[in-house]
Amino acid sequence: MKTRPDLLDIDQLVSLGDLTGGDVYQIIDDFASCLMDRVAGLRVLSGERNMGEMRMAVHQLKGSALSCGFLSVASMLEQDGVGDALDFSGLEACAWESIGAWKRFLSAIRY
Amino acid sequence: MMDKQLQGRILIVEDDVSTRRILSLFCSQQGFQPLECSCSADALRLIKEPEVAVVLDLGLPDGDGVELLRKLLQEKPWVPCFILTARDSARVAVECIKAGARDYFTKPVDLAALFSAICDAVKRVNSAAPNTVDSPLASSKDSGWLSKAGRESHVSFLNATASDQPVLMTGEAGTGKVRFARMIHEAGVNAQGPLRILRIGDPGIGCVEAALFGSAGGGGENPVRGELQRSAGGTLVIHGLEHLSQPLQSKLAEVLNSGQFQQPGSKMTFPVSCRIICTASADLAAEAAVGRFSKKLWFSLKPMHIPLSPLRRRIEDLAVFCEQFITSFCVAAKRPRLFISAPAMEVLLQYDWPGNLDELRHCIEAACRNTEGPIIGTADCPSYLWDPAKCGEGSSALVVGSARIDELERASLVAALALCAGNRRLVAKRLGVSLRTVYNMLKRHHLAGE
Repeated sequence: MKTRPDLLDIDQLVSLGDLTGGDVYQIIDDFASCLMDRVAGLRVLSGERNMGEMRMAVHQLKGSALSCGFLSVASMLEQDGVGDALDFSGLEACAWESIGAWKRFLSAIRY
Repeated sequence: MMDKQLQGRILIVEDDVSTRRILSLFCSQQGFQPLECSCSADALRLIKEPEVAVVLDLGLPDGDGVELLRKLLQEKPWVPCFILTARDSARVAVECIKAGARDYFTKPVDLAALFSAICDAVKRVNSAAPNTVDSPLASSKDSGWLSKAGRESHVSFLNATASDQPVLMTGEAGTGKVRFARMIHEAGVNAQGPLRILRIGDPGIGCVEAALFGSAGGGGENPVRGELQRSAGGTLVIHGLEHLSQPLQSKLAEVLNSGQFQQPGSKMTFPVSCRIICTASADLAAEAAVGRFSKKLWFSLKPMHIPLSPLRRRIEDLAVFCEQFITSFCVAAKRPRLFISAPAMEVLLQYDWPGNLDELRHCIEAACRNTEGPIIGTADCPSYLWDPAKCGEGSSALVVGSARIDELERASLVAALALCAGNRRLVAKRLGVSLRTVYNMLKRHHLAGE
């Protein structure tokens, strides 16, 4: 399985239960499916200078990312904070890579 | 087959949908019924439902999670609440534990550990007959403290934070005077300003007068600011007031009365724009009575005098302090939650803690470092606490065979009160006596108010 160890928290994912199908898989896959939309939403809030909503959205995304084992995304949100300090290009790239890693991980465990 | 005692509803308050779904799924798998909501308003509505536990995320969109925790516990003090937080902050965790949370978990949550803690708490609550007035929070009158002294200091704390009057705190070394001063500052009106601590008697500060008031410098050209000016807009803690010389005591009394001061070597007057909190280990009333302390200063500080009891006189609070110190240690060291075994807790309760909270904190930290599993055992505690041969001078840990019967009875009662979080029924069960006997013992040992 080729996945960068810092992109996904494999231990966390495995601890959640059966990832080959069923409820846990569905929760993580739903998160992965809407991750890019959520990052885009952060960029919009930042453009609108809506710092209150932005802070809350960052907090929620960080919580989701931690719970779903998307360690790298959570770390970026933890380090960069909110507002102008957030590196959106870096976050988008990281989110793409993490989604790819999730798909590769799924293929590996299903195979 | 699922343990019937565990079935019931768990209120999950979590604004993040993925975490909420995961928690809800685990809840169902463990035989509980999840009741989900994503904001404080819904949580306060749903707490009216008959649930057995609450899992609460601190960062909610419509309010402070700690405040919500207090409100939930006000509504149902017996329901165990578990905190989830992405914030890696010892302070928030300690605040939650003090507010009455059963435990806290940082994200990503170890679900096995969380549900194991929930199952334990639910079993304990069910076996302890909930809804009694003896539930821990009801008996502590919402302050989190079980002892009368603890509750009194909590009331003083609330009074102190409501004004900017000068405060005097007295108590033995290690009773947490500076810690208490810091809490007053952080909860008070000057919280946004700096907190500075001047330790009188510390050889590093040089001339105390210059350190406190500053100096005009040579010809007024190089003025040096003192702590009174550096603390502008904040709080100045003068620690070890009894070590201040008599002339400086008089000068400080003048400053407190007039609200202004002059630097040595200058005729300029400066306003005092910080809150002053003084601490002392000596009995200043007695010192003032025999002329060893300025009466003027004593009477200036007396209206907001907070005496802090030594730990041995508020031993019922030991479990709460242990909880705080363990929480701080585990969060700072990024270690999983640790717990104290009942025998280790009894060892801690038998000791008289001459070094007070400082000694307890060092012992707890040492025990946390020594323990390899999740439970702190007796052997993990420093050996002088449990090995009578290593008890140093000044320690008076009760040793069976050399203590008086009433001392042993009191120690057992205090230990049982702490272990049962003040619940008299559980204390009676633990000690093997009737509830009436427990009340008689409480009265006889002057613990009735606890």
